[in-house]
Amino acid sequence: MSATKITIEEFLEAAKEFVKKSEKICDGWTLKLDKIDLCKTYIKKESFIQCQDNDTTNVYKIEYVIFYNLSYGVPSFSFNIWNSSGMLIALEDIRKMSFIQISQKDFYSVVTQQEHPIFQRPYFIVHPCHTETLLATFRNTSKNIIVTFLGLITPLIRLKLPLEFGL
Amino acid sequence: MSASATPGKCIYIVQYSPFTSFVHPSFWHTLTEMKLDVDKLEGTTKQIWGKFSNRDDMGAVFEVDGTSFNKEPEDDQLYTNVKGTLMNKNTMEEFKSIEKATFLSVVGKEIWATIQDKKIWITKPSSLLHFIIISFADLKKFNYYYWFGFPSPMQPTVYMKDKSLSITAIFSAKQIAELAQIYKALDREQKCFFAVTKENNMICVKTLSSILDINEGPLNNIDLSSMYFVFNDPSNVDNPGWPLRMYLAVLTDHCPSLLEADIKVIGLRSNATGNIESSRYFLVTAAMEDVKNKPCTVSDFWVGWEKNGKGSFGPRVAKMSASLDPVILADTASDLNIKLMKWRLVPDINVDVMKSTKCLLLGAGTLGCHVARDLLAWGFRHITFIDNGKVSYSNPTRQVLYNFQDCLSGGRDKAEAAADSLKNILPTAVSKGITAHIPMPGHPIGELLKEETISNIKIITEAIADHDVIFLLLDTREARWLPTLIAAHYGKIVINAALGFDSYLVMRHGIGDFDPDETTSVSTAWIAGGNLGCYFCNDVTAPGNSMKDRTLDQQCTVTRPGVAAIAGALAVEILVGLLQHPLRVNAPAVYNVNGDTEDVPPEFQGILGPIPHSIRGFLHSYQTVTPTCAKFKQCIACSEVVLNKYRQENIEFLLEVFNSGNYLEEVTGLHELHLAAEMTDILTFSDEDEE
Repeated sequence: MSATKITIEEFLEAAKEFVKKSEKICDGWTLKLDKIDLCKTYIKKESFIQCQDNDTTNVYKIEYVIFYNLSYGVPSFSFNIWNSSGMLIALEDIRKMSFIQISQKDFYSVVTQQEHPIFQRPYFIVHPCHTETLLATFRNTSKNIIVTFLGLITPLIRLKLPLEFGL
Repeated sequence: MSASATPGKCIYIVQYSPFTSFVHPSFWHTLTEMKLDVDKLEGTTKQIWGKFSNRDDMGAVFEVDGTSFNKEPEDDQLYTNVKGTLMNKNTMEEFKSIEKATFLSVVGKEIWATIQDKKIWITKPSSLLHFIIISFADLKKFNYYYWFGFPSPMQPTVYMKDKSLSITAIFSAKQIAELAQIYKALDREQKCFFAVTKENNMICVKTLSSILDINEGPLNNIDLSSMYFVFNDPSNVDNPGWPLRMYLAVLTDHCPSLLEADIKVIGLRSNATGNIESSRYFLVTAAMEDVKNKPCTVSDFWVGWEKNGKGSFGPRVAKMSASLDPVILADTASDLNIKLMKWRLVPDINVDVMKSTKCLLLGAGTLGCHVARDLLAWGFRHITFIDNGKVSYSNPTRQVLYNFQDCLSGGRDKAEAAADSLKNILPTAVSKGITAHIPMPGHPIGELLKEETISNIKIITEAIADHDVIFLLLDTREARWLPTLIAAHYGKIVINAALGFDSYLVMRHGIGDFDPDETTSVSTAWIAGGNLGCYFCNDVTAPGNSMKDRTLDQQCTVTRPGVAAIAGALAVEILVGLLQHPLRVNAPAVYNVNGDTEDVPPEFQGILGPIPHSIRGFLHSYQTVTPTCAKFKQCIACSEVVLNKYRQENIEFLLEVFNSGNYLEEVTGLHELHLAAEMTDILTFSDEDEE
């Protein structure tokens, strides 16, 4: 394993610390620890988002899940969005939503729908191929690898990351 | 709030901000499991849990999820849990036939009786809130019809002299902080409804049991007019949230002295960190009014059905097949493989063309099975097999669509077994099996079989006309003649694969715009798609009976097993390359492509690379070559002279050919060619596949 990859132990450690901090500031992240298969451990957060569709404001719920990608050796970011009836929103419609700040051209090279390795259902997953190199740059300065990782995601996907996480 | 026409003073009837239901996908998931595993055909009424929060960043959202079915609610600091009733009806008719107004009144009266019984709400205020869901789950389509209700008494009517105020208008910053502390420290069951007073400028908490007598009215020494009645307020607008309606109904019912008096109410709202500065203050008066010109009691009339998305009172529907129907999940997931190719590597690839292209596989043997699987993998959905064999014990190890069960009791029809196998792999595959024998040149048809042969020709002709691509995956050379002819007549794409012991041939037949003037010379670098030869173009003999002189071992599958897998895969890849090429069937084939496709002119490249006319591979030396050959004017299968004869005489012509292969040589003039050239040593490609 190259030195730039993150081990599952490092991921778990960072995840626990991250959720602890989140609890302190009520940011809503929770840890789902799988003691039998550690790689199925993930952290998640659900929050409401409001989107202007034509004339009406619609409320959606978005679920963010951060899990460990064993083959890439990095954290992976996935999400799903559903409406008030529980119906999942399709990729095409998500692309048009304002909370994603990716140009149309780049969208599919960054976000794709895939079968989620933990839930076995379609989720939108941010492709992990550049994560390793980017994380490696911050490796030595990063206090919490998940905070650093989210710092890479938030320019693309509107997700409030309170400043307290960085302290 | 609407202003009523009271002269002098402006008085508003309080409009409560209603709850908006919000269902988590896991709610439908659990409901489905329970319906299938526990309730089955019973319509049931269950106790469930719902929740809302008084967070000020989102409106009055009322949520249910998978944990709603738990015996005890999830313990989440941010939420208030509410007990509810789910009535899942067994049929759409039962769901529709519920008299909504009466139903709500019946439920309301039951709720009223429960909370009045021993005045449980005074000691346990959280019991005041209740919700109902009536539903019908159509589990064939994964459609869920549902309607939320939040039953509350219609009376008393509540008025407000002025608009609501921010809590900062009545409490100091210090007092607000004290209230926040009190709220945080309160028992979960008391948090929904309680009261506070200002004593010496300090905020003091009063639970309902500390101010109300269990029988009626306030306890002694309690001055209700000094109380601020606090409730957990889900609303984030000027209007109070829905729970206040029930709170005022029980308070005024229990303490009639509160009727038509000023009541001070605080709607407690907080942000993520527990700050409650966005809370509102309401000064209200409640009065029992006549309904339909008659006096009434609190529990007589109930309101609270949720409006649907269209803004009217009616049920909603959640169409959940995309995330709950396993068949659709499998279909979507297999499509994702193709889409990922588009998103990641080949942005110009056309995903839909594979889905809409109908493939006919002639032969459901080793090649047919491999081709079908690769077609599925590439996202094709329409696959039809024609074969006249049955699955035998020797088949399953090589013919990857069959298993041991298919061989029992004499064996299933191959075409049908293969079609079923595809559906087991992907239920959304549109697969079909046709059991029919393909008549062959030089295999005479006796009178006995004439009728059946004609019927088979009809079936095969119709099948070819009905599909876009014809795969020739047969075990003899002569069986390929009839489909080659018919496919050429209809202008269908033909992909041909044939096997030897350790060699194979995969090729596409030339169709499309034929240019008879195009001459091939040594200097030609490529041949247009329409001018490419067919399987028979390079042979100067008509197919005879190739089984005639076979030894026993040649009539079985005598190929190295990998050959079929390789050839099957190449056959599908050639087809996909062709479908994705901007010129489609007219895509030219280039001579002498030696690994370095960069020399090929860009207009021939296609999205997946240049497409050869044929691929011949030799497993013995692990080599492949890609010969390109032009159409032969005297071809016994695809030349104009043969096609015209077929068009004119149809069955009669075919029967004549079946009776004697030499007839074709006469028609095409090959006979003369033979005499002229005296070619005696003709290499034919051996293509035995199976027994």
